Amino acid sequence: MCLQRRDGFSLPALVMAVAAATLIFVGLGLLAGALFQSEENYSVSYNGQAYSLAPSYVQFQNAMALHFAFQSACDQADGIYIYGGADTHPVNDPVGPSVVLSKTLSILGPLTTNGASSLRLQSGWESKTVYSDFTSQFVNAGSAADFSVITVQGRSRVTSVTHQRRYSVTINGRVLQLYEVNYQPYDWSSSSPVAGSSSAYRICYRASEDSWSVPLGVRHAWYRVDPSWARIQEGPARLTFADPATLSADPTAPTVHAGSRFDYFLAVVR
Amino acid sequence: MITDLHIEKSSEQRGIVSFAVLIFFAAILAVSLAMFMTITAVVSASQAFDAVRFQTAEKNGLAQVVEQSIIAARGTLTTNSALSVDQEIRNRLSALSLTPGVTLSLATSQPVPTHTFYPAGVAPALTSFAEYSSTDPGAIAGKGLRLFPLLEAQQQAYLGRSVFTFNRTVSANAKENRTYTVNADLYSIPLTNIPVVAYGLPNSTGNVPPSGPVLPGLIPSDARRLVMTSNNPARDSTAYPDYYIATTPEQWPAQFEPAALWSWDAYEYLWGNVYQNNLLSAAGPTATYDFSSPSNPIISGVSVTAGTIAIDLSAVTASTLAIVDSFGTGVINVQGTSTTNPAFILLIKNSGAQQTAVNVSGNNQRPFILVARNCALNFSGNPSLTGALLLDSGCTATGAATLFGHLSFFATSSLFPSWNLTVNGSSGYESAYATLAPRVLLVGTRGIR
Repeated sequence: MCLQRRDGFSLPALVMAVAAATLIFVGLGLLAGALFQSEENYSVSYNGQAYSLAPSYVQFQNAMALHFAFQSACDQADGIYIYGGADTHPVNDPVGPSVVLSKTLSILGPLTTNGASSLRLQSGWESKTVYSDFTSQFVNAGSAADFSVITVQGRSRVTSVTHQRRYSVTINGRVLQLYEVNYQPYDWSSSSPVAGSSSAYRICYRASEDSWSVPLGVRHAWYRVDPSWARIQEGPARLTFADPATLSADPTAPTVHAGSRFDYFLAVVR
Repeated sequence: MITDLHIEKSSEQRGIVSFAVLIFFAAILAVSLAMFMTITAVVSASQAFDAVRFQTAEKNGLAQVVEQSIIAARGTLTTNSALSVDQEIRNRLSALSLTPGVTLSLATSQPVPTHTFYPAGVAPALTSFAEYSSTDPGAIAGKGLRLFPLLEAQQQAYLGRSVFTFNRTVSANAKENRTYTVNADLYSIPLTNIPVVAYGLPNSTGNVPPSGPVLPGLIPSDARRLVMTSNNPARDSTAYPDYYIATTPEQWPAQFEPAALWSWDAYEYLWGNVYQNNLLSAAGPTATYDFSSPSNPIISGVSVTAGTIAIDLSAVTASTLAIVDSFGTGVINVQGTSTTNPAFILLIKNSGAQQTAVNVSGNNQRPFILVARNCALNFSGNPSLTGALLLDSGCTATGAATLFGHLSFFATSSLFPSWNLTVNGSSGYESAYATLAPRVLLVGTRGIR
């Protein structure tokens, strides 16, 4: 008997309810977006650049664009020279961190090969002296994770320059590891290089969040060093870039550790 | 009854509560949906990235398959495969371990030119290629730095490009089907393009250079030289143990293949019966002197005195002059000349136990290629010679000389410094005899996805 007294929504009430619900859902959507946006915007500023806290999906998108281009440049290269990291020379520089190219390096023309043949381009170590244009461009690495990569076609045409830099900073009492990755391609369709669209991503990890089984940075491998026959032959180098959306560890498999998906094993000579 | 009364009194409150619950779940749903979409986007992007990397590795593997197949069928080897290049490719494809559901098959192919050179046939003409060209497929850049030092040395013959396409099919996902293209560029290069080669013979003698051999004097001091030594650190201390596998000794990564093709395989062919017999055939009965034969023809440039023959390099007219000394009893005196007649090959073939004595004197400007087997060479008067010396593992040498051209020697023999030889490796000398020089086939492949 009592239930019969219940009234349904009248049409105006229903319209208002739908309108209110729409407003609320839109508001929730905006709120959710704002939440994610605020997370994206959780960033620190360093040297005039914003570094988003990882995981950062906007930076992940940037990283994907960069690494698709970087991988293509490596695939098309005749030679890949990697500076920085450990073991850049097994005798002269086994520990590192070794010198890297300056971020201000800009390719303005064919490299000067210092009269040497490409027989001496079998390693990044020797390329440092063969490519005399680079002599004044090397700077001390700030960390073991720093490196520079150039891809070359033929002897003298640089098709891309890539840098990774790590900065350990304390901001508002928080220790952060900032990572910056830059990629700059060059187009040689004409006789001189034209800088293409560059890519970059910048992220920061909380202290020790970037300590993985495969550390960020470079480790070089060597086949042999024999100066008398100029057999200074470098093997592949392992590059690990910062990853804005780090791969998770597998708690059920102790051997599967967290790491970066941007991990390369690059032969110097292709 | 109490319940009914409660309902009656709080119907509006009940509606508000229901609405609040609805909003609460809607909020959870919205946030969950956003999280799900974000994670899905990351996973999808990661999978796409992995797929590109995987396919890049796959097409580069196919490029290597094509390279290996062409080398097997056409390379400068002691024995070439009797199979066609296409069949070599198919055999290699069938041996690959692919992801389950993925198949790779050869779709189309173009003929691969044969590689001939003197004396088996006319060697293709040598030219210089630009390092960079957007229109010339023979341009060196883009072929990889494995080949670059060998291609850039001097002139080479570009035999052309053969294009292969491969179908990749994925049974579980047709969207991942692709067609890969592999371009194969073939080059025929004189072995004499590199001034000094210390070669190894792993197949016929089991020996590769145990270490960087002692060098002759070089002009310039960083003149090109090629040696491909052992990867066993117990033999060559410059090799690293990480890359040595005792069960598969002397197997190097693919990076070293062009160097091994040049300094191992080509010399196996050079000292093998096929090339040696071809040289004897090219000399023919009118230009072959055999110490063990009771009668020999009169050969222009060759004079005989009591078991000793003298070769006047100015007077030789044959393209190939062969001296056979089956018992190692012969003595040969080679006299240089200032004339610059066309180049020729001097083959001294001694298969006996004793070395053939070869005395070289007088400056020489006539380009020639000495192919010497089991000879004891002596250079008197410190002559300056234009030419190429290809010495087998049985050769020794003494005296002093300056060679304007090329030297090949078996790296485990200790020729230097007791042999006071200086090799002037400046470019230009090799061109005079390059058309007669043995060649090595190098293949540059590039995959496209």
